[in-house]
Amino acid sequence: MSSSGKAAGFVLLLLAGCGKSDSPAPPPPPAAAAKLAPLDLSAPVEARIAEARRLLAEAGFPGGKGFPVLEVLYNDSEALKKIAAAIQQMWNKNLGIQVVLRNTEWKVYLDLVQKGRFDIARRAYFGEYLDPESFLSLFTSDSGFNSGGWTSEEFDRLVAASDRENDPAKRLALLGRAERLLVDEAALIPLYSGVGHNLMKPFIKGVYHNVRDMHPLQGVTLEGPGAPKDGVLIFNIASEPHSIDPALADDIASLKVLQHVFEGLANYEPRDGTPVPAAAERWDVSPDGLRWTFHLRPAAWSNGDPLTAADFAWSWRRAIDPKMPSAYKERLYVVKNARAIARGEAPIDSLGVRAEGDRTLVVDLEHPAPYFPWLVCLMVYLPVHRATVEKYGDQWIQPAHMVHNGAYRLVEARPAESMTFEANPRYRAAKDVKLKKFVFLHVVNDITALNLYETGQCHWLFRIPLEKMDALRGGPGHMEGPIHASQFYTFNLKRKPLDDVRVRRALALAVDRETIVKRVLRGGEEASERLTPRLYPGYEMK
Amino acid sequence: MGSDPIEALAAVESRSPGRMAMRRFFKNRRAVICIALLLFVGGATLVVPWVTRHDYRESDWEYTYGEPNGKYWMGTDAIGRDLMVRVFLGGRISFAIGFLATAVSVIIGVAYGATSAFAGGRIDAMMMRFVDILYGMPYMLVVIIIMSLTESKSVLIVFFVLGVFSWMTISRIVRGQVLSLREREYVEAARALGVSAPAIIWRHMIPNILGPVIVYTTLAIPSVMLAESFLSFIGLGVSEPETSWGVLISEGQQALDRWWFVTFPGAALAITLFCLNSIGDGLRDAFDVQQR
Amino acid sequence: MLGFLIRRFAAGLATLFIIAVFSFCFTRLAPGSPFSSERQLHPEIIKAYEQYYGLDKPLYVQFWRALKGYVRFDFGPSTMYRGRSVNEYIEPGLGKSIQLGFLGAVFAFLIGLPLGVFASAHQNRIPDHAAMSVATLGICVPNFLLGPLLVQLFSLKWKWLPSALWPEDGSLKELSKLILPTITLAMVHIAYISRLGRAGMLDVMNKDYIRTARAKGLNEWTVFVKHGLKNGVTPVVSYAGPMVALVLTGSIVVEKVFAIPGLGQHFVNGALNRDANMIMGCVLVYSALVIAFNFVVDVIYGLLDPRVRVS
Repeated sequence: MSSSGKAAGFVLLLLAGCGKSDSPAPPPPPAAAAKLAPLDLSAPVEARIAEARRLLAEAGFPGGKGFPVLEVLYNDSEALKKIAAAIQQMWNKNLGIQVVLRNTEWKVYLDLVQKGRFDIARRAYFGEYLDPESFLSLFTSDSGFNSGGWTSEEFDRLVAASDRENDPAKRLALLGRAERLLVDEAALIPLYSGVGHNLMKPFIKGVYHNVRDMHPLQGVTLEGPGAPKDGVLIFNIASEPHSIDPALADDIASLKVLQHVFEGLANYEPRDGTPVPAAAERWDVSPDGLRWTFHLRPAAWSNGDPLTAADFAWSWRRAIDPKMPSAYKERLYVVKNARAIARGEAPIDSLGVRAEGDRTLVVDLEHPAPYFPWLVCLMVYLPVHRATVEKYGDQWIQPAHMVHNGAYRLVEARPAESMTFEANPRYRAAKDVKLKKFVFLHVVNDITALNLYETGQCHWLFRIPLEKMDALRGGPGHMEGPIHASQFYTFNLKRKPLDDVRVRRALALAVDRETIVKRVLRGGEEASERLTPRLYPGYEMK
Repeated sequence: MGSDPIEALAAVESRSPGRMAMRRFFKNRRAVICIALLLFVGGATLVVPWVTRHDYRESDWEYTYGEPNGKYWMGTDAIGRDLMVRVFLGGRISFAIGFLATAVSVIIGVAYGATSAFAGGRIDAMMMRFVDILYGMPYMLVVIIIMSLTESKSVLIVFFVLGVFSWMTISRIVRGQVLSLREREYVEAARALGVSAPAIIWRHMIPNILGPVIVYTTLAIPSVMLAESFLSFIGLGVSEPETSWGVLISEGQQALDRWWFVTFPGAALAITLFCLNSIGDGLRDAFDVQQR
Repeated sequence: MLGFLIRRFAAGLATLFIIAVFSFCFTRLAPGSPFSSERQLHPEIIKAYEQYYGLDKPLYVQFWRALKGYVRFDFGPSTMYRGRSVNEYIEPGLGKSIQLGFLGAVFAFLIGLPLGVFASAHQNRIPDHAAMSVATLGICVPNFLLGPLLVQLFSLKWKWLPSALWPEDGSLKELSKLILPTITLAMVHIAYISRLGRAGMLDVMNKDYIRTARAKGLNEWTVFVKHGLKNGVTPVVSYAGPMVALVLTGSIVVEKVFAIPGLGQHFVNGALNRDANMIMGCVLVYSALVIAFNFVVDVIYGLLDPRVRVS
């Protein structure tokens, strides 16, 4: 069969948009209430494909006949393109259906995904707190992430119940049942769990792999042959930070900067990425799980002013202010009244946070959240210096004006080029800061960054290009390990026939994810049969 | 001869200028070799995907990132697809874009330039003023804006956008030719002899305009092909599973140690561009002498 | 002469205005909002954004406000870099792009012109074929392939030169960062300039006044340099105009490959991220540069050749 014919046909399909099905309407999906058999995505490939074909035929598309041409949406990236092309092929070969691929730039992709203008979209998530709920909450009916329209009352009920459950084992059991439901109804196609790859020069010491892939640089030292004589570490953070105002930042590059320049109530422990006391020396939680009390250490801002609980309260209120254009303020919604305030329905003062004296911060939550210490490490919970912000407005983030409380001070910022940091002598634990000076580069192109690493112009990369994976893995300076991230595809249930659970299950079964991680990604990723990564002891999906 | 001088004049003019140029062209060895080479590459893009046993979308999962060997003459790509069929299919698309975009720009340009020249006077001035203004626009920036804003990256859109933004030069050339030809003595003589207007246009103007147009076209195609590969590099090119030389090269330059990713499409593109440029040069030399 | 200048200037301004309108319409009406983020934004957050950036006002109001800013050279806040203004990126970026472009242009002329003249002096013999083949190769290898190849060879394999980034100071080691980007940028222009130079020289050397000069008994060198060169290089000079626009697009590639934060980079990032102000700023600055340059070239032509002024 001439592939040129196929090519021409494909171009025509592309031009004509999604094809229309012209076979008679398929039989309607089964009644929703029937309990589904568990979807076993870890069965051997042949068995899965056979089951997928059976399901597709049952849904009215034997051998893929009459199945409309769907569109798979993903954002620009070489790796994602290859994954999508592989899946396109697998569906074609295993099920006899055609899909077209569509890649767009990041912003367009997000817009399309949020507006629900897609058939099947590639998604990914980096869980902020080491708990299955950080992923499962993505698929509740009111979640902003869940634009594909999959809802389940039972699922919502289970997740909400887990919020109120104090016993950890029972809580995990509830979440496990919720995830089982999610996977059985094929609300998504699980693909793989993330793996973090860091490439570091051998003279960098004091860095450990952790699942948040967060490495505070205070404890890092540069010793051994090849260490730079000026003692300056050069790290590529792979993009320009969107903003270094804690209330406005929403990306990883900004997080890496803010982590070092400001200090929140808690911070990530270098070895395992768990939250440990930072600006707060300890915290208590009330028996009902709704009130957290943080006890602050004595500390000062970089200009000498004492750091007080009132600073935190003011900063959080600033972030939640409806006029503050921040996407990240959603992370504050766990605090009482936060959502109402952001909608303009409640006064800002009603935010469930208040200072009791200089050193005590009392936080009231909307519902119990045992993972709250993870959240307070996030950017939007960081304190800012009120007098500076009020004096300089937008310009307070300029290095010359900035007042901060973190271990490092931003000395120079070259837009889109680099940022230079030096140890802050006024930091409360300044004597523990070993690395005195470092530079962040904003090189976006992976290959250029790798070249810089090889010529010694850069010492540390946290992303390596797919093409070089084979050559670099296991080599000198390479550090690899699982991270708390998950990659999957979601469906838009408004697009027939994706509303039929049999069709979704078939599509999920027919993807050979083992081949994808082994042959395409080659970075040690783990093929996953569920949404959450395998990082929670005692948690099972059932 | 001893015949009537006017008849002699007419006899000389009636020998087709095109034929004279062609004779000169074929004496240019480099250009002729390039025509053969170009036909070879072009022919390969038509023939190879047709006769090969590999499908351009089919993955051989056991042999991803595969070096060229007996089964895969140009190796395989990151997901195990045969690169030879992809290189030549990509060639089809690159050629298609090059020819079609140039065709669009030539059609618009010739129509616009000829109309402007014939209209003359204020209309002509206004039309050319418009072209001047458009000339000032940074064409590639506009193309990038449009390409990044359109939702589907189909082949059609790429060549249409490229074509629509490059007609200005040819319109100026055509207008210039028409204007100068109108005043030539032999046209006046032909008019005086009573030759009709359409005949003047057909026998005298068109052959003279055709020369520069053909030269321009041959030289515009490579620049469009390069523009398409540039767009692919930024990420605004043809989308999967279709491919083009630009896409293949920009994927390949990210993995230079896998030399076969970039060498074959790069060589194909370079040969094509080289040939088109040489042919264009040859054509220009052939027609130019005649212009003087 | 004055009338000519005024007409040219007015045409330039008109072009700039049209570009502004066109870019504005396209960026405001495009699919893809600049405020998307991983989690769907609740309506109240989107409202906050729109108020902050003034996007809740009708289009013509937005355009008027933007225009007022442009006259003051203020391009407004960036949507992809929150809390920062577009100027903070364009100002340093412009300097780098101009420097890189200038270096590329000078290098292209310095190499291309002698190459073309040399080829013309040995017409149709081996040096000519060799030089012209090298030149044509410059046209056929896209710069986004040439750049990485040069890096692979000179930076990674032989470790002679740094692989990317912009010089931090004026030391030789830092300045060596400019070598590979300059070569990559200049290559295609070396090709065109040498071809044009050769064609121009050949054209002139066949003219009658050259024959006369030879007949007068002047030696070949004098004939070539004093009489031929002066006129033979005019096609090269006229290439300068279109060259500026090409250097512009070439710099987009070079900046990406060598991680130089110039205007090209900001423009592409702005386009891909729907940062309307960034796009407008870059487009307007670039266009203004190109128009200004062409204006200067026109003025020089007008001074040199009176016929041009009248047309």
